[in-house]
Amino acid sequence: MSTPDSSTSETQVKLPQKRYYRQRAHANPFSDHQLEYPTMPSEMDWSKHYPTYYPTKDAECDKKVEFADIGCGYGGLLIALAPLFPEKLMIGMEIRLKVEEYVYERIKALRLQKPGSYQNVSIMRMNAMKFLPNFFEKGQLTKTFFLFPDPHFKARKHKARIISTTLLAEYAYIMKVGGILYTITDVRDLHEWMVEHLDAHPLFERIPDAECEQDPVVEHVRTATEEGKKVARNEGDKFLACYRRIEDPLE
Amino acid sequence: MKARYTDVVQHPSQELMVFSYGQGYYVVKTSTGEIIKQVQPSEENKTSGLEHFRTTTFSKDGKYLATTGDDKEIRVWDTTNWEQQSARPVLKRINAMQFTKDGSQIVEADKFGDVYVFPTEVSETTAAEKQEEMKKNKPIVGHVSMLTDMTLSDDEKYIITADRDEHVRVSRFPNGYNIESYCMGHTDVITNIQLLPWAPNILATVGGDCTFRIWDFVVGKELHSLQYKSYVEKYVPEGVDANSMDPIVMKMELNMKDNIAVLSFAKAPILLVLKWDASKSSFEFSSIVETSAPVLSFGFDIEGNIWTALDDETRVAVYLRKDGSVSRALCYC
Ligand SMILES: C[S@@+](CC[C@H](N)C(=O)[O-])C[C@H]1O[C@@H](n2cnc3c(N)ncnc32)[C@H](O)[C@@H]1O
Repeated sequence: MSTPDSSTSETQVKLPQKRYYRQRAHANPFSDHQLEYPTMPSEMDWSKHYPTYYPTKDAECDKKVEFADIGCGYGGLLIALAPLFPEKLMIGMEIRLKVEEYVYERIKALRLQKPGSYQNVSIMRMNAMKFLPNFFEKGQLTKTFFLFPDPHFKARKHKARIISTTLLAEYAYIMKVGGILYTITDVRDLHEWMVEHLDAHPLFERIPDAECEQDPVVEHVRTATEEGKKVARNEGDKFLACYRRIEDPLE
Repeated sequence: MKARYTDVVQHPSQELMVFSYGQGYYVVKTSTGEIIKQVQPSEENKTSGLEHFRTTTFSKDGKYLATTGDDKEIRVWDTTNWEQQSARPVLKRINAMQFTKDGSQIVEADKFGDVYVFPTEVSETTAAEKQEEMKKNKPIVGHVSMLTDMTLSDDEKYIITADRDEHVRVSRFPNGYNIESYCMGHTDVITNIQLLPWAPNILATVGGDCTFRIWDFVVGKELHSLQYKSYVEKYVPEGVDANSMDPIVMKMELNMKDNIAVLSFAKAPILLVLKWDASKSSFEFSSIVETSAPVLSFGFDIEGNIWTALDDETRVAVYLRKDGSVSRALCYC
């Protein structure tokens, strides 16, 4: 006969082990034959992600996803932010299947461990370089995160970088005016590249570093992700740059 | 005329059509069928038999013809004497190209996914200077995947680009970094986009998913979608495309005279004619024109007759249109 014992719930619901979900460090963002995506944002079924908010696919819900962690890896950032912004829906976007599965299990476990919590955070497998406008409407996102993105060192591979002139136009489109785009990396060359491209983009404006420090999200941007923790362990540098989505100065 | 043509384009105001082949072209007077000019690839350009002009376009006033293709150059020709006026190198193969209304600039969309704007006049003289200018020029719009077609809106406030990943993007022009909307709904590659000449606030799009769609493109709203698979499928040979059983549109042309849209398909010996219904603001099926061979390219002459470049010994066949019916009349072998 089993007796209910709330003190063991923490161990009963096992968190998934990262090593079972290891996958090749780099997935090719240009091949996406098996990826699923809606033909347009209104076709997206959010009920799989946020059943408390979207009981069915076509349920009326005035809440929309507002935060996107692009290339979220093992999901540390959003798991830190979910309890801090319980009213905001947030999604991690990750191209590697095994990593996505890991984060999915992690969120599932957290939801069971703390009923009522973590209902606002989810993960999807997708290619952020190609299909973002299929998921989000114009001006939908108030925060987007690019934390420790793959550096793609070789010049030949620069088109594979997740921040580029081409992609910034799409990020600007899905972001709300006033929304914030966060970048951080330990690779100085990549930091300079991201700053150069964001500075050059007329729809983004750099937020002064001092102002960034006032933003309660920034400490998590620095420390909450797995990559951020690894860099800290290796005592590496962390270069932060945050930008605000602004109106088109030409309009 | 003995060549296999890669593109057919009508002069905006005169009875002239240009048929390109290799790196040369014929200019045909459409009222008589007479070839008034043959421009042959110069010896230095005859490097390989595989290089073709694939995209040709006139300026709105008809003063210039621009050609481009595998040569990765934009050549501008003076249509008073068909002399080459300039050539400028480009980085990637161009898939769509258009003059701005005033003819002062050329906008082009390439295989890499980028859109560039160049002045029509080439001031640089040496090849090195041209290379330098090409590298300095920054794209105004970029997609991650290959661009298949592009058009400016009638008021030139927007530039509309289509790519291999089902995306039709509407950006501001010339500030292309500011995306206005997406026209989303197609489920396969988009190959051709064009404004309705009689209603230029509406965009028509087609590609590989057997739907012909029209859009209020500024807001990205679909107005109508026509499924045409049942009309064309029996003409499409099996196994044309390993990825899809559906016929893929090669070219779309719209004609102002009686508000029709005509589509040609890869390897299929037909033209599909759709008719605009002004009362419903939508298109409906009109007819299938069977051709003697697959249609390589086609265009309307100034009278609205359809000139087709065919993949057989006929080469060029003309389909006369009268009171809504189409009949094969002339052919130039
Ligand atoms: C170096 S990791 C950083 C992960 C996480 N942000 C962190 O700080 O721990 C970069 C991640 O981006 C993902 N990624 C790369 N390209 C992507 C794309 N096009 N779409 C979605 N995710 C992508 C990779 O799979 C990888 O997990």
